[in-house]
Amino acid sequence: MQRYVIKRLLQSLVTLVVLSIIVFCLTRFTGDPVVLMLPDDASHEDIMQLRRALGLDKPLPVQYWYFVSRAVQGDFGRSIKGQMPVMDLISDRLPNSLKLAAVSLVITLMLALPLGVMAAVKKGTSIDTLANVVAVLGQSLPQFWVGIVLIQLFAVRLRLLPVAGTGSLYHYILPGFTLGWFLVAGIMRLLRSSMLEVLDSEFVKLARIKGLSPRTVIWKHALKNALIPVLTFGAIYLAILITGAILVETVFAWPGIGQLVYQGIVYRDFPVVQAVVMLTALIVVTVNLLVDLAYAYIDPRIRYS
Amino acid sequence: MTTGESVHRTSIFTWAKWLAQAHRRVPIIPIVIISLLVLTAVLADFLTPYSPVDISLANRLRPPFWEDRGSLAHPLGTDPMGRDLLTRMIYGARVSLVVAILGLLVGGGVGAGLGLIAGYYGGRIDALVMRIADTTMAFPIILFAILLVVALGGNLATVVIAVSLVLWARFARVIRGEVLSLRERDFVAQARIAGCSPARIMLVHLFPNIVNTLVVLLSLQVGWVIIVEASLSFLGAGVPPPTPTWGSMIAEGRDYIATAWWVSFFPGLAILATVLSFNLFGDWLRDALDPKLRQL
Amino acid sequence: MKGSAKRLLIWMGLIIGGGMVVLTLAEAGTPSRGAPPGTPSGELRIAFAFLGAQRLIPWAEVPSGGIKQYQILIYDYLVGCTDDGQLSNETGIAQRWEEAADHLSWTFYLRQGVTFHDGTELTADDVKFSIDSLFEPKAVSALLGPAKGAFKEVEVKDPYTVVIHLKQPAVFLPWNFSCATGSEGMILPKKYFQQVGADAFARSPIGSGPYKVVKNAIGSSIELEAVDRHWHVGVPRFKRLAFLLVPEESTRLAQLQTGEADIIAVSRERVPDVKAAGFNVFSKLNDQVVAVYMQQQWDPVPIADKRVRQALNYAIDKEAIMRFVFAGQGVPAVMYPIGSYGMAGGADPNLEPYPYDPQKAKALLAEAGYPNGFETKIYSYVTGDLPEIPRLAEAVADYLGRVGVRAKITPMDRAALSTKRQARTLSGDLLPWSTPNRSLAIQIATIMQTLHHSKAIFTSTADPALDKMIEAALAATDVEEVKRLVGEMHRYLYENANNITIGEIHTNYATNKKVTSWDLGRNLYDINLRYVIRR
Repeated sequence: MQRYVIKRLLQSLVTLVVLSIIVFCLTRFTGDPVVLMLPDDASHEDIMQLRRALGLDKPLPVQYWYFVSRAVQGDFGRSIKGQMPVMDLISDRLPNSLKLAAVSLVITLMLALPLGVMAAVKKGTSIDTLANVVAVLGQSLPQFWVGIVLIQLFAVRLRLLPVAGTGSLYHYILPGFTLGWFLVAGIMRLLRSSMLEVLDSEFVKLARIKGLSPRTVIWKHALKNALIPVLTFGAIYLAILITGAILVETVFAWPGIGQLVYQGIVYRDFPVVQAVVMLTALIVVTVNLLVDLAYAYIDPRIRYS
Repeated sequence: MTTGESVHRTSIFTWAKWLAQAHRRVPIIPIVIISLLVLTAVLADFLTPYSPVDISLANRLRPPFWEDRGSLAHPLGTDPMGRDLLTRMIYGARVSLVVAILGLLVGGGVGAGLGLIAGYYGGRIDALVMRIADTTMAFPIILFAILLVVALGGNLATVVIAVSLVLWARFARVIRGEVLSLRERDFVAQARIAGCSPARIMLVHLFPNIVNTLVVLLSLQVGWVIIVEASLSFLGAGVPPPTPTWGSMIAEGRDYIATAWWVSFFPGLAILATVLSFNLFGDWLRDALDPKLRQL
Repeated sequence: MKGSAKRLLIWMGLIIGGGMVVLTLAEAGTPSRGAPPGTPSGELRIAFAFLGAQRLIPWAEVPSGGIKQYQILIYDYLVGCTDDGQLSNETGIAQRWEEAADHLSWTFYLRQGVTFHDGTELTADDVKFSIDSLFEPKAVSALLGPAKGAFKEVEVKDPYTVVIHLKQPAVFLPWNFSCATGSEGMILPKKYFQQVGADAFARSPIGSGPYKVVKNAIGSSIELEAVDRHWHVGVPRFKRLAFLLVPEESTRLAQLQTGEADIIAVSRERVPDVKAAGFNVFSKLNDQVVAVYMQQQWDPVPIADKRVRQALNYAIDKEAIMRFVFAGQGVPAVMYPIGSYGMAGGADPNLEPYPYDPQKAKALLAEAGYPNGFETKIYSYVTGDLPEIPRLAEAVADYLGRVGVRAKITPMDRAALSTKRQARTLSGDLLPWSTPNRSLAIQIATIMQTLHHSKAIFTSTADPALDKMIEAALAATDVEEVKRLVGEMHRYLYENANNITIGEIHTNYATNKKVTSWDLGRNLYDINLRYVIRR
């Protein structure tokens, strides 16, 4: 087991390093942030001066070394556009992304759990199809469209919820739903098939024979076991929710890291883009690692493959 | 090399049997919609007299025919540049389909191939492929696409590349899982003993058995690709104007949602119908071919 | 299966019940962060499409892009300005200023009793500190233009007198430090800044303006609170101001409708709709001048020929584009980059925009040797401050196509485009762009240098005659001389059709009943929020 852990850790590390190089090069080869920062009538000397002050005139490998050596210590440099430490920017925005992701996941589960259970229990009936359609609907509409329409409906027409921004619990509802609906189908399908398997299994049959009521069978015994794969995927979904919320952040003016990195790309703010990409990769790689380790722990065959 | 068709798990006869069984609950509406889509995309040039790109500023923002200023000349109205909406939707079907097909061919093809290889060889190759796949899979596609657009310029090719780069990982993961369980089976061992090369084993023996999964996955991902294209257009990183795509049409129309609602609504409806149809069709296909395929 | 049906009902009941609880709570409380009911609203909420990097240190950011509007409330300028873009000795720190007889220094006499938000008095030391900071290597607001090279040193003669010594004359120096132009004239407190350092200052800045910073949530909002009494504005009208960053326009409109925002930046497209919905719309007329650059006119490309350039100008129906691409929110312009504001700076009032004449365009093209037109590229990009660019590119390509010039629409992101401009790899290509309408002669001369002097990075022309005029304008020591040269350049550019000029467009803001009058003024990059907060 230990060897497996070490092996996976090393692989994750290599992944991160490769990604850092790719992002480093990709941003630098596509545009000059200094030109974007200065007004049009800046002279050549102004540009050179600023470039020197920001350390962008050094050769690429040197710049990369600076980036990596400091990043490891948690210092991701200073935002070129904002001229302030990137970690400050991230620590301002990341909690917002985390909070929204958490609320979205809760909303997703609130929708997906009953839908999945119903679909499994009523397999083959129209309820199954209906549940499926409702879930799939979330994957069939572009997120930004859903967000804009929801704002028009719930905020403007009905005046029930705030339009955008943060502030109160109500501010979480529309963006949370918009962000989460997309994942409902996936979790519902997962839960449905895993419920079906469990419902078919020996110990459920035994429970039924023992005379336990169907309700107890479904909710107490079957669901608990069916939830295991859902929970592991839930972790991955959380990572997706944190890192992939840019559309929702734009529509709802939500100050998360999606907007941060988008602005960073537009303005070629290398340190910001690098930092957010590495952070994203770290989240994703860590979650994958933990899930794999959990599976390896449960199923010894995987370790020795 | 082959010892008879009974060795294979799948054969033409099994296919037919399964399809017949599933025939009871064929999702007619999705299939009709999908066929309509394909027909429209192919026959676009013949279906409409208008050009999808010629501007006619005097004609802009005409409502659908049942409203006051509307007319049957433009049944679904016109967009902010005066172009017929229905025409643009018809051509947009073509673009959406092309993006989806290309993206799935490249992404799915590469992914399935890599999944086959990774699953068959196992060991280091498997680990390498899977690690790369893991990272790209949960990486936000939007971010990726913007970076690519910024590096390569915005056009059809860039969108396809961005889509493929994320798609391949999903295919690779699933196919690899299938292959892992298949490769321990007797018929594979027999093929090896008989001296088949790895390539032959993968292509002739393993591939037919993963076709089911592949087909289901393909049909389920079409919707995702169309939605991603729409999202990229929203952020200005999709297929550029004047080419009509459903996604860019929605993005164009979002400023007029309260007044010229038709500009966003009809393309949105088209996306909804198409993606829903593909998703439902894929679901049915999966249930028909192998209900045990979960996590798709 | 009755049990499952019951369970289903219970789940649905829970969801609906939970939803109802939420809804009733939402109605009982206030969903928007507005004022509690009953008291007059002391808050003004303004939603913008961008707020910049929110560094809140004037020289750390270029003043374009919506930054000056909140900075101008936090800080005072050395030299004041009137609403229509002229200097004023009433609204700035300097009461009086004079140029030395030998033109090699300017003396500014400061008023007394101006205090920063922390109570300390604003003196000449702070002015010197602020000006000196403009020369730091990391300072990016470089609108000083030609004056930058002329600086020798800043001297503090006494606590209320500052003398700027020059190496060569700089006739427009007071303009450089006024709110009529950029952000160089903002005065920051020396002691506090040096005490806490730049980063801490940026997080909680201190100025002498009518509002102080309460909260700066980068990427989200800026919250300001009024001072008790400002030396010029008096008691500000609103107790609190909130600047919100809301990139999506449909969201901003929704916020205006629900009252979550009182003022919103609104695109030209939406102005008629917003007016029809009963809101006020205030415009900064002719704020931006729009054109399509013809890159690298010195290369052996079709646009090197004057007749071709003129043809391209005749080929465009400016009226139609103003009406349909810019929603009627603008007028055709004569010749970019000089707009109608430029009349105050010496622009020629007798020139008329190139009329729409496709026949003439074809004739000129044939005369220049292109009877069947030619191929070129027109770039398109997405930018928040000019959302019409993609449509403009399409429309221009369409019109050019009708006279035989086939312009392929090539989308590219703006940063990549800037790089290509610099690298001069856009030979003969077309590039839509815009620039603010400028009223000051020296500013016009400066932008002419940026865009048309052969040695400038972003130039599209290499014309020695034009170079000479530009250099003369920048070196002139007499204001009238500069104006005269501006007129000359205007005519020259017009004759040679060095830009495909489209028009001048308005910038609009929609408000609810809280704002009933607002003159957005003619100052550069500014929408004159000081007007709104005055009683």
